[in-house]
Amino acid sequence: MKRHRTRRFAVPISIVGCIAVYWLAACLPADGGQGNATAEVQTILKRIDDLYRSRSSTAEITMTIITPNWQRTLVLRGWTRGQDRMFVRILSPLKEQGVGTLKIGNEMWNYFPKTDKVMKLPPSMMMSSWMGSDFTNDDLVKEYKLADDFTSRLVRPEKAEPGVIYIESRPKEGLPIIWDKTIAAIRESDLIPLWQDFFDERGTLVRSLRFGEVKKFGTRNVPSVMEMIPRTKEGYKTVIRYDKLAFDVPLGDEIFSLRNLQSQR
Amino acid sequence: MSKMALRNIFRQKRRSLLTSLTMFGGFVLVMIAVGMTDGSFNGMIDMFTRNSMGHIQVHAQGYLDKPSLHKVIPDYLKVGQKIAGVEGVEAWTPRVFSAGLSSVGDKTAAAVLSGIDPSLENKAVNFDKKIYEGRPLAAGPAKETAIGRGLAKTLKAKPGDALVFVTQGADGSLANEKYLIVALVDSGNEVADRSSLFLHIADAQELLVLDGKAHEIAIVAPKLGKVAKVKRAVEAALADPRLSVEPWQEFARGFYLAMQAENKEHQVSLIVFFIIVAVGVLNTTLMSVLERRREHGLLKALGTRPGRLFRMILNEVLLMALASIAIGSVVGTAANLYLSRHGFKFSQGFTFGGMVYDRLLVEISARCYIIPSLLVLAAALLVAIYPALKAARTDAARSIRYT
Repeated sequence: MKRHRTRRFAVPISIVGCIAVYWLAACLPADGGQGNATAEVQTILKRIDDLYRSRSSTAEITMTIITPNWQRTLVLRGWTRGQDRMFVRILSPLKEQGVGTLKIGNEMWNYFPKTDKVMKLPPSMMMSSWMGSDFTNDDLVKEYKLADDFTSRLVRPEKAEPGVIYIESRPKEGLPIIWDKTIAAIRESDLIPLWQDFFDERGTLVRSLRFGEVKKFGTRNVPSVMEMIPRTKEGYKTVIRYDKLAFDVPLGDEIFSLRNLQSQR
Repeated sequence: MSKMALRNIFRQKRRSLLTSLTMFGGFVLVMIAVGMTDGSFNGMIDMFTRNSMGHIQVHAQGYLDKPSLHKVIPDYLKVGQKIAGVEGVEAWTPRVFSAGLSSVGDKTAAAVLSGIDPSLENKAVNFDKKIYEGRPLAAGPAKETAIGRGLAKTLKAKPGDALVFVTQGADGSLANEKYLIVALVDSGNEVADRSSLFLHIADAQELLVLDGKAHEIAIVAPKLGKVAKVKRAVEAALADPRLSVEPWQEFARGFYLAMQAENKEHQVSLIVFFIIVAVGVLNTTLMSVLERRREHGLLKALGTRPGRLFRMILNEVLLMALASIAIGSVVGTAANLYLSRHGFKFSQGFTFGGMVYDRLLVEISARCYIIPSLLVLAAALLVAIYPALKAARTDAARSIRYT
């Protein structure tokens, strides 16, 4: 006998993740170096691919989450090494201070100082919201080897602007990528990304990522602000702003360890 | 005409008794069948509604279509007091819902959180009876939790263990808190028990930053038949356009449709009874008409018109049907009264949500009289048409000569 339906909220299980941005930037279409991709596309994508990439990095980030019901701002400090290690600690607000997330490969752990608890994220929670933001846990964990995972080509959309290059990328078959395609807009003059749209298999625009405020961090010029806007629900937006960003800082194994996750500071 | 019919009935007492017995038996059987159907139907609905849903639910407008943490009943205590004052409300119980991650030791699983007021929940849906291990939740907020059987299995948890629950508060903040598992729950719904987690409503409100708010108020009415009336009364008492009041047929639509389909199945059994009564009546009436061929022939020879003969036979059957219904009602009522108290014992009882179900109780209502009466009358008169026609068409000369 059927019982009444189970109540299920779209309550985002906010999990402190690591700096989504690295992955998101990395997810920008890269050329597979084969098929119909021209040499020009290949060069552009290579540039963008390497924009945020480094052997390691540290960053301080302000993340503002806007929903129809509430708005809040978090300050985070993050460390990355290679593509598979990330560690993030929340600095403020006070209620969440000390909450941390560690990612090694495709596994994630969260630490909650209030209950002194390390929790490994179950696979079922991967598509849930990260930290109540419009990024998913999956966004943080997935590692795409861009050169291998996407087939890209130059496109010219109807309302194309002058001085902008548009590149459409489709994941290669058999890869666990939930997007059917993405379209990225790149400024021709300095090859800085402007925005990227994500489409599902029905061709619906699901979310948009916007880049802005190019700043010089060390020797690199990168957009310091990113906005993630889900297109399937109204009134939601997540804005990430780099306050500090340093590349190729030597980082030891001890940073990416459960022991460090559990240490309060 | 009816005088003659009456005389005919008593002339052949045995045959009349046989016809009447068929109708009487059919009437009593259908009466009990209807009582049983209603009893099992309502019993099942009651079992499910009283297990957790309640008969009536109050939510914020739009919550049922698309549940959200933010669609709340503001100041649930005030709303609850208003509801408690409505005539016909047997019990009410407030709830807060959310979903999140629960963790015991190194095991983690998704869980659906229900914040309840243990004493009100007990009164409304016998919450404590669903606890199969451990002790009831404390009456006040004490950072205690009761978890479903399946969830306990996934988390390898037992009473006495500490459980951490992580979710997001209504203000967007990351909510995490440690609770002591005091009880394991078997609600009868295995699927729900795989993820159910109960907290005291005040603990849940604190965790979710939902001070004084609730997502649902479930109301129990004294009887299923009273639900519609109580629903209207609650609506009138609340008179709040931000809240919506729904009966179980609406908030448990799938269940309601399933029950309706079940009801259709019972109608098939009524048709079977109808056929049995009809065949019995046809048999004896036809017999009595054929037996009296000479008599009918004589009547015709004396100048009786076919229409009168036709009506006479129908009258005979009708009189017997009415007598059967009258006696059947008395006997059937007695039988149903007995069965409504003692019921049919199941060969094997079962428990659902901590309540033991070991018998089927018959339910008496107007339906128990109307349905069999109509059935017997319709069956008797319908099949009496053929013998009556036969009587009316008797050839006077031939029937007198050949018998």
